[in-house]
Amino acid sequence: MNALRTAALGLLASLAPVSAHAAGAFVTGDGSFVGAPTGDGEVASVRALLFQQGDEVTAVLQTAADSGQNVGGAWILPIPGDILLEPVTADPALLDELLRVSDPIYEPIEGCGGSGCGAAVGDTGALAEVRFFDETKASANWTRFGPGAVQSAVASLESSGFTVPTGVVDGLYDHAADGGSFVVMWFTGDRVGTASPALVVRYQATDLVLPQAITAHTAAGEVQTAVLTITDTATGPEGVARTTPKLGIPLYEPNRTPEFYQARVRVALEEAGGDAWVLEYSNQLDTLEPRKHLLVDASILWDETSKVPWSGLNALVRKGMLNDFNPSEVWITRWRTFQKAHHLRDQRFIPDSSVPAYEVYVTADQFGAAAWVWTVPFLLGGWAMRRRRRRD
Amino acid sequence: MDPRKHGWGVGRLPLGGLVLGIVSACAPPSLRHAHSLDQGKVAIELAGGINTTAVDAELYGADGDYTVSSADDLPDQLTGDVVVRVGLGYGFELGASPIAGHVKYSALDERRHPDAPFSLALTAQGGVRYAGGGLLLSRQLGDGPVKLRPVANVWYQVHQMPLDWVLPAELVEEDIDVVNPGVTGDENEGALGTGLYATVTIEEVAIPIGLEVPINVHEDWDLVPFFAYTVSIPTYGSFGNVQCVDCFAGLADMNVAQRSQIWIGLKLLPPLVRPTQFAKDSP
Repeated sequence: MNALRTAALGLLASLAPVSAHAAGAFVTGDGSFVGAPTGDGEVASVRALLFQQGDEVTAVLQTAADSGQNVGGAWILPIPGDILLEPVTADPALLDELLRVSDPIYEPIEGCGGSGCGAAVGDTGALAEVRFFDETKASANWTRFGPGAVQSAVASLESSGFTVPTGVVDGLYDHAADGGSFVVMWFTGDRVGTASPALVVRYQATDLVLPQAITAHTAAGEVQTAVLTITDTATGPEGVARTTPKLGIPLYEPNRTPEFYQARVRVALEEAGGDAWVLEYSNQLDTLEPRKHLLVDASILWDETSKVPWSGLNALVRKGMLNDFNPSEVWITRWRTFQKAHHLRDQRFIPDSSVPAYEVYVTADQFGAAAWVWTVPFLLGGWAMRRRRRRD
Repeated sequence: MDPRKHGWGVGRLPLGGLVLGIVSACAPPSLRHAHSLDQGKVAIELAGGINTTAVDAELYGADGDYTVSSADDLPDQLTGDVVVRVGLGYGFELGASPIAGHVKYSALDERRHPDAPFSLALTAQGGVRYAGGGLLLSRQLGDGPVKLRPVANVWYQVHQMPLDWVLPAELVEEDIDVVNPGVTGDENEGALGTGLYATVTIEEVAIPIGLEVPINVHEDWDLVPFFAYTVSIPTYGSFGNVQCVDCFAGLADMNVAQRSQIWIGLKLLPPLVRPTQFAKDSP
């Protein structure tokens, strides 16, 4: 089987019109798929970082299947533009740390003590299953293709034993017709994990698009997607509803706040519609720095010794996959959604100054006795009555 | 007795509720006439009522939004008002009820001022969980042994009361055995059952309107049945000391959904309007 795959890789390399080559590397994770051509695994989670610098975008993408699924084979990753540099893999901690420091924060309660309360600084990771990807070591090779190479790529995949669904092939042609490229990643190690490596691709594009249209053909019943955009301004998903969860004054134990937050995200998405996105963080990148000090577990940071929680991005700069940037001049916006497969699309994220600076920060005093004022409804009622009288 | 009914609910049986309510309830004033008592004279008032106060709590649950009401069943709505008053002369009197003491001054008094078209008094009442000031109006009609006395009060009052809400199953997880640990210093912790508890403070303009029927039973005493209806216009509200036992929800807001009282009672007091020749002699 390995010999067959090696032969297929050689064939692919020879057919690819772009300078395709198998830049193999040992990476963290195992195979799963965005638009995967195999039938033994389904995409359940996608997390992505889209960093725009001028007319170039650096994307860090990672996917996972539901836990317990043994996925493997190949990963077809559509790229909405010309690939400028050879893709590389990144330490998944790069995404971990950015997601962690932009997570909702729940202040610990003084004097709470005991089990549970000490963990009041909550996170979405364990519950959302979007941050703690399985990072079983695996190896992979990949090949990148330009827009004109769809046919040869599909033929190569099929010749190496993969079944490429018709919908995926059609999706690839549509993607290529729009000028898109794609990367095929081949997993060569033991495929016992559920997450792909985090792949870094630098490509040419003037806007930010998360390509998920072909994911719909191999998606699980529901796909959770978390997207971090870093641009000059805040961004928002185009053409879909946006929302934020309503939390209220906590009436539960503080250590259950993450669980409650997750549930309210679901409620907000259901109320807003099936293709809606939830805003989870929006501010300048350097606003994450004070949040780092609230982390309970610093080990999830890309570099524990670093003073900043975006040292994974700095590593990409050193690798040449990202131009130098000033954290006080770029804006990070975090969106998340759960979507049924039929809602998946190539989602564009556009600059939107109406997206406010936003974070979820539940202060400790919100768990205590609370006061509320309800004069507003009466004032509004009086105002409405007065208007009615004037009309009469 | 339902352990969640602390100081507000008054039992299950209507009769028992009425009796207990009169003794222990913390309802706002029922109906106060504007006439004053002679110096040293005493009056006793006893009233039972239905207090329909209901505050809606808007809650966020793990699977949707909910609105629950604090409205009680009828037996728990029964309340009472007991007042003992003593005249100080010159239109002043002092009184006490289960929730507050009060002072009253009859500025215009059909008893002391024979030509007065009606009686008008100012009063202030205060207690631990209640404070209010009111303008009292009343006028006595008729001249026989049975008379009529329409009464209207306008109170601006602040009333603090503990309320509780029964939560739907979707907002409850009974395996949580910790009362919201953010709330400290609560003496009731451990005695409460599953549900939401809060101390609600309502500032309101309350307008009791009613009718007293003085029946002269003795030279020095009138027996006065009365009934009244109080409509409330809340102007400000707040809540505190929030506790939720076994809850998995977020509190969005609280709103007064209903606030009124119906009163029926009996007063034993000296005749408030006397023959003209005695009126000016009274201090």
